[in-house]
Amino acid sequence: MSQSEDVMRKLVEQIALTQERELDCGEVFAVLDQYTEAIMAGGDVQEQFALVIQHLELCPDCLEEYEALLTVLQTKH
Amino acid sequence: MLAIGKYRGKETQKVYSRVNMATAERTNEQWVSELAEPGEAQEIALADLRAIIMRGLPYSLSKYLNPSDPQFESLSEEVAQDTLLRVLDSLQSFEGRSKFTTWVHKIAVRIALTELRRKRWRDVSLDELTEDSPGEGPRGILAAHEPGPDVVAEQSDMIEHLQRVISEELTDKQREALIATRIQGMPLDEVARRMDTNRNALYKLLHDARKRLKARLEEEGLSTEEVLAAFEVG
Repeated sequence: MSQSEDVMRKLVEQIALTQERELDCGEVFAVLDQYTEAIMAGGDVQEQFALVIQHLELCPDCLEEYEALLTVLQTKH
Repeated sequence: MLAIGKYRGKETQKVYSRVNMATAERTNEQWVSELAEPGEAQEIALADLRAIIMRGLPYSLSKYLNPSDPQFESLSEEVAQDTLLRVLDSLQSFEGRSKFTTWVHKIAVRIALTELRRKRWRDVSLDELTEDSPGEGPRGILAAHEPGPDVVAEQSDMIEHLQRVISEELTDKQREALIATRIQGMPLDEVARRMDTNRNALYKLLHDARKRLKARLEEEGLSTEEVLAAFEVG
């Protein structure tokens, strides 16, 4: 698959995930500690954090930050 | 620099017992009250918090920077320092909805990754990422599409159609932001700085761009499932 096909497919996937209302990065950052703790606790986050989950699917930067925070919390030190 | 270790040698016994107490878990309320006012309790709390941040960084940065990398130590020192300052500045905004140390690690992660991204993309300009350079192959999404031999006509038509939709629906700014972030993979903070905006505003710009594209496809009666299906062929 050439670059333009791959790129277009990814773009269409993102269009498919697009909602009228989305959180911006700041709104996600404000609750990222709560969300990450909820993930760690293994609770059901789908309802309370639906907009956060949706943002993380669309924003690689916030996803990186979430994953880094999760790695810290998962490690006992 | 914050005066960490200032009390070493002075009232050693007292400090020792305080440190022991401090290494036991503080509650959120203890952290906030000890950090709120300048003084000995704040110094000790800052020193402990600094140690907590420094212990977390090798894990939060593990994907990006090896602790044996010569950059690691100076970056960690810088991040810990900036994090402590940010924590003191924004103590009022801590709502206690997570553990205090989780909140602090969150701030440290943001500062550390922002700094790493800045270093990594320092020498890249937005222009070189987003201009279509004829003769160098399709760098941008709007470059002429030259299908490979395995690409069937349906897919090729779809790509051309999407390229047309993008050029008709999006502003120059939206197109530039979309190409830099989503196609070239430049971090939002880095694109935002180059476009004289901020990360939140840039996310909104990209969100608006996606909404426009989505609306246009809907107007055309084209579902994203159908479009994606076209890519599955071949």
